Amino acid sequence: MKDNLELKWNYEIKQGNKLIKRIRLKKCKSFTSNWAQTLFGTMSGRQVTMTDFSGTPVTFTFNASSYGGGADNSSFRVTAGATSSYGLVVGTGITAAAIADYAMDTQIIHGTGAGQLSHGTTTVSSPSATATEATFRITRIFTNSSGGDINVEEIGLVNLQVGGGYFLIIRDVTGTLAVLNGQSLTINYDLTTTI
Amino acid sequence: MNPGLNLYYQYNLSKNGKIYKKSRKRKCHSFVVAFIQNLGGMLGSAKNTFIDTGNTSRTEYHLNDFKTSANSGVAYLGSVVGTGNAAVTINDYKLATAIAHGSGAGQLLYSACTVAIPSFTDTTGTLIVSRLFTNSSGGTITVEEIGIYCKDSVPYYYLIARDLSTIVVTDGTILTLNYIIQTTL
Repeated sequence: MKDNLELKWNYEIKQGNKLIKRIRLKKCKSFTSNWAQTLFGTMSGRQVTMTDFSGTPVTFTFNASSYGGGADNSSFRVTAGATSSYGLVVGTGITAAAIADYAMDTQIIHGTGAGQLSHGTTTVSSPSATATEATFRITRIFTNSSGGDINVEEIGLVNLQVGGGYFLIIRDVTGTLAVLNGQSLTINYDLTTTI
Repeated sequence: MNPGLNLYYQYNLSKNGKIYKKSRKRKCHSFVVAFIQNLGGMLGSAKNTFIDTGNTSRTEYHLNDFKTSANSGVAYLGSVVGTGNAAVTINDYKLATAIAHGSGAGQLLYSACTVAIPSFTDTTGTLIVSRLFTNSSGGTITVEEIGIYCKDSVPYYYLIARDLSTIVVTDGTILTLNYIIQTTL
């Protein structure tokens, strides 16, 4: 039976414009406690305490009016520029996902140094709907210009809170995604609801 | 148990302080399109459009807006009930026939809608939205549909979930409706 809110991911690896590998969508399992806390904060308007990406508990209240409006005032924001601080992130850790996860096991940092991947922007598509489902996609491209090969083993989603701080809301262990030097890795998350 | 995010509902019927019916936890089928539009807007920090409960297209302004908690007597926000039995569609933007707040014929008294602090186990995260509906109408009311109305901070009101469920609420009975949002590893 389908979930009410399906979260799936897939990836493709390219060398230049040549497709090396693409997989079909796979189901994710791993909404973290920060996801539920964020949803609680937005639904209730009450104070919440969440653990940020550095492991520090942060207490705040989601209150749109106090932020003064504007396009950045989202408690769930994951759109990001070329940074590994938030948005769609990857890592090399293989520790099983846990609901209390607040950080990647071993995050891969943005850059071109050894063991680093250049992070493109994280984008969120406009939602689309059919007669029975509604969906949108979150995407980021990671380019390996490190001079060596990198094995991605975990993926996640980190949001930026207007009040400050970065919070891991989704994490999955993927198995090995081998990104050779000079290749790019595209990760997609699809969120879909189906009647 | 399914990994992922799921929405369930459960209800109790009580009279004179005693619960005489307790339903099992049932899976909902029906996050509707405005849920995805608003979630996408929040994740994307974008001003998506959605249809509000008045069937008017709206643009998100503030983006922190899944507000569901509501005061007593407010039937346009929080968990809501109705008598319509039209099949659920992804484009539903309101209940088919909402039951109004009150003690007149065909009305129910809406208590405050509350959102409980989430609870966690090693593998689950659970969020419960609760509301009591009291039948002081003098007659029996049969609920046929349930849903959740949210608001943004303009405020515009919008439906995020709707399901069909037949619940017979006799005069003097309190219906407690619990929506359970659960994530499972």
